[in-house]
Amino acid sequence: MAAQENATLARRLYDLFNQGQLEEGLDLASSDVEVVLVPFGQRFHGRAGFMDFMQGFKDAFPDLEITITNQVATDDQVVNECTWTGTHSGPLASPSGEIPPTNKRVAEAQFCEVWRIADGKLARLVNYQDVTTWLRQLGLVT
Amino acid sequence: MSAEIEQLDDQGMAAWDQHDVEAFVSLFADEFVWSDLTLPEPMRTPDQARQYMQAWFTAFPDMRIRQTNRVVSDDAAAAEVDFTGTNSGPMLMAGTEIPPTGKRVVGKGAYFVRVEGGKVVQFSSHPDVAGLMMQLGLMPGT
Repeated sequence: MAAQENATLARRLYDLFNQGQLEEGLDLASSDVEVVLVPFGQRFHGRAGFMDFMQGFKDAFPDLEITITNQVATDDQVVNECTWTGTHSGPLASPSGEIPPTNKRVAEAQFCEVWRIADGKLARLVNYQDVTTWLRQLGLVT
Repeated sequence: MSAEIEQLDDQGMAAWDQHDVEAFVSLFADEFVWSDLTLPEPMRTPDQARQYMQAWFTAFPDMRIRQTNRVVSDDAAAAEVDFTGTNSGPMLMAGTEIPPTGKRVVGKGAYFVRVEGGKVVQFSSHPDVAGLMMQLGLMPGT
């Protein structure tokens, strides 16, 4: 698939995620999609796993909004640099257990996702993100 | 153009791996912006870039870095890296100096670079600070 189409696929999926259309977003991923959430050392597999990955953040931050700040695409990969903003008004699933809502706002936290695209669908996603900054904004770490 | 960016990126990786601060800084354009998630404000001067790199090499004097994936377009590149090192020197975290832990880490990260006229005009680095802190036993409980 052409580089530009891969960049567009990523934009569409982030848009759907922002609008809470997770089922529609799921349709843009392959059935054996793999997600690696680097800072938490977590992996998610398949459609159910990808839904868990998306739902986990949407549950904790229902108004979560992602803005793409940079993209580099080739015919089989697209790297997306993004910022996100959201209010922690739902339970946050963390590796060390569920964190109840703080109702505090995360502003302009950064992440970088490396996507591999196969047959026009998202096949693998590696997420690098600035967890310590947003945990600090929520007052969860010092 | 892609070949030129690959070459520039190779030089940057080699300079970092060899702790050659001057070689790394020489790849930047006169005006550049380097944002890093561990810093509240982006770096814009060679001295700031030198200081940032030196901080890593002070904390991890035997630091080695290796690229695991790279995506290159006409004017930009993004890559994933693994790094190893022993935390045998002091580290600055949010303005506080943390004494060496003596622990050996295998870290991960991603970066994005935009090139104009053969020089780096925009750079952003996404080291997996959370994973690093966890390995060093410095991650505050959440």
